[in-house]
Amino acid sequence: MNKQDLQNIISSSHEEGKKVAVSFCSHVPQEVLAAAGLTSLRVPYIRDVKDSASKILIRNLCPVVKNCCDICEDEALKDADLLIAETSCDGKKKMYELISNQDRVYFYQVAQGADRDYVKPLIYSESRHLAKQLEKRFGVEITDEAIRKAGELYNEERDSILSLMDIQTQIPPAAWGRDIFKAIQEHRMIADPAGRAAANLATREELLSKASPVPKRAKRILVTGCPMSGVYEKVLDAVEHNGGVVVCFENCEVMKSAVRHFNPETEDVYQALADCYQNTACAIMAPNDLRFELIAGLAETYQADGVLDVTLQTCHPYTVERDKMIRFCEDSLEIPYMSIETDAGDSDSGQLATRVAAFIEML
Amino acid sequence: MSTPLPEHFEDFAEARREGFLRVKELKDQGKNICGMFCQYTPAEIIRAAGLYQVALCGRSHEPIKTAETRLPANLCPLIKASFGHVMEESCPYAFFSDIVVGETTCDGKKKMYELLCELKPMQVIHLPNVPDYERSLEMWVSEIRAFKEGLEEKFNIEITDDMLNESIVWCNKERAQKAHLYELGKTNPPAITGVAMNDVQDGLQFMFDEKQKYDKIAEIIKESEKNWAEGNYPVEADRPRLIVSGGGYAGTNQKTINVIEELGGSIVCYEGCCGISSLRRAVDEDTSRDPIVRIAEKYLDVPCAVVSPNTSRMQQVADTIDEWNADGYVSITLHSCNPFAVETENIRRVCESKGIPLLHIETDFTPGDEGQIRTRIEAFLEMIRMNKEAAKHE
Repeated sequence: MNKQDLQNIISSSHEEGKKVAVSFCSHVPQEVLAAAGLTSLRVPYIRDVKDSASKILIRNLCPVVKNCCDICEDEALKDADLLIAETSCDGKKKMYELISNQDRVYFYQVAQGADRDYVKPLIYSESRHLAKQLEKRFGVEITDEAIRKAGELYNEERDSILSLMDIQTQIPPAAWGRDIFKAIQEHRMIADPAGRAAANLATREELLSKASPVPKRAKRILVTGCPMSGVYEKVLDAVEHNGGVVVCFENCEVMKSAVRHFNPETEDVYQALADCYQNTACAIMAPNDLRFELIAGLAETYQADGVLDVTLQTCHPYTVERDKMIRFCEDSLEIPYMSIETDAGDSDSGQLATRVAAFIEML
Repeated sequence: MSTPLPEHFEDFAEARREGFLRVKELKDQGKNICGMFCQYTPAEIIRAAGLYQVALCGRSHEPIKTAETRLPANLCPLIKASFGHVMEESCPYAFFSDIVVGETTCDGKKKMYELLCELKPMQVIHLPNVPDYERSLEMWVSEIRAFKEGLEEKFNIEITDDMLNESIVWCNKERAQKAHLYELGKTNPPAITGVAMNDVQDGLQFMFDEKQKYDKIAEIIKESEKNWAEGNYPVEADRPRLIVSGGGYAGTNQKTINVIEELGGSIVCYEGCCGISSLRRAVDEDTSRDPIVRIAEKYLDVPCAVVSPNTSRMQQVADTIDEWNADGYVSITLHSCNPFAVETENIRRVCESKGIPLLHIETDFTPGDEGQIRTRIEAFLEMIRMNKEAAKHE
């Protein structure tokens, strides 16, 4: 996505009489925003926004946090009606407080643990609170039916990502991981979940209609870790130009979001949201047992030869969780593991390629 | 110029070293020790459980090398040092802790606890992230209740409401006294130096006889006030008056707060983690209400950088500047401490609106940047003196 795309979505939504909410994290319950009649955009890394972070933020901070700051302060977003500031990681949480025009910033509280009693009730009450605030702010009514319907739409989107990813279970996998990731990224500039779902499925059909470009001997890599939309090109090239192929992405853009399911049969829709969003295998959860379970399952389904943990500089949740992840992969799953720490610049491309090539050679 | 310090100050400076022996004595007497990291940990409950509380925040660079075999290098030195000490068994306080309480104030600590709990018996308390009773009190009450029940189970005790009520009253009394200590800095010249204030507050964490502790501080306050009334000031008047803020910087005192006062600044109050933040908020003593809820309310009001939006901290910064008549603000944050370092930008904006400058020192526990920090402090103090001089002539 570039800033022109973002601006286009905002202005065309406004032409249709729809308000626009922008968010940056998969913890944010999109269903509530959609049920309020908003265009809801979960914005990925955008390269061509104006730099504000270097003036406002400390230097030693994760590139995603800096980019979110740049996006929020960029003129491209000046007409957005609402910014959802989710309290996921420290960097983002505190950065949101520095954004100008705090009137349009809404803080959404994210629960932080898989094993605690408070988690579901908190997601429940925070979703309700968000709904009430949206009703008040935009003078709309959010019905249970609208949330249920949105839940079904987002389920379609989630399912479309699962079925697109599923083509990689084949031997050899049906496509290069980079092409799949890139397609999912590009589809994020489609404003509605049904459109994104259709586009994901179309990509699946297109990739399946061709013979696989991947050599059979390519080592099958399961990518896990931080959001990757700002670094995916160099990371995936490092894998796929050096004898590997990415068979699955256990990250926010792909599996972490897609494995969640909103149950439309649940009577209380807010309960359905709590059940759905509790299953976010994110490292801000402590402990984050879900991520370990998810990786175990994906490693098996996708017959991974190795796990590549992609972390961003100064991302404490994922870099500290690494110690457990190494032990889990090597000792419990007995799958070779490697982690890389990178940022949005290109200066480490060569080094990444060398390290990843050595890892793949060893497999 | 300087008059002798009240004799009890030394006791506090020594407390941390001697504390090791006292902890051992307590253990020998069969007492239980509770290690903790943060002002946000509800002291009332630990005390009601009959546990002796001790701070485990690392402040030495030595164990960091060990910690980095398990933790990323680009992480706050306090987290690495604390974890390294436990790995190495090089900190007697951690070693003797029967239980360690971890609160999820920042990502780094929160995730480190997942590793620490493999080495020490732990109880983790999840903190609220949005400072709003309507949205956060319920989850926070449930975490504190779980904490209390966890201690009851671990130590096979019952913590009754009466015990909690008694603890609440005592802890309120202690907090009011500590706040009083900071209030000694309000006069010109201040009745106590900032370094002494810090020595006392810091030493307190390693003294275990609460009655004795209370009496000693009472004497210090009395002596300082008496000295001041008699014209025996610890420093000369009209020094640049500074508020120091930040989190977990005890390991940097030698090159930060000590240098500020050595170069002629006066630290008149501390704001932030160990500062005035939590001291002026008392727990409601109305025994007709559930004590756990009352405790939860007090801590939810702590303007810690873990919460967003932290508007009440910004209000507090503004109020502290006014009340202590500050000329400048120093924010000391540790490398990679995202909450305090990012929030410093918001504090800078408050200082700007108050017309005073802010100095942000980002550092760690190694001595490498001493010279650079000294130069920056020198320049900062010089600028304040010039501002004050200019204001006089206006």
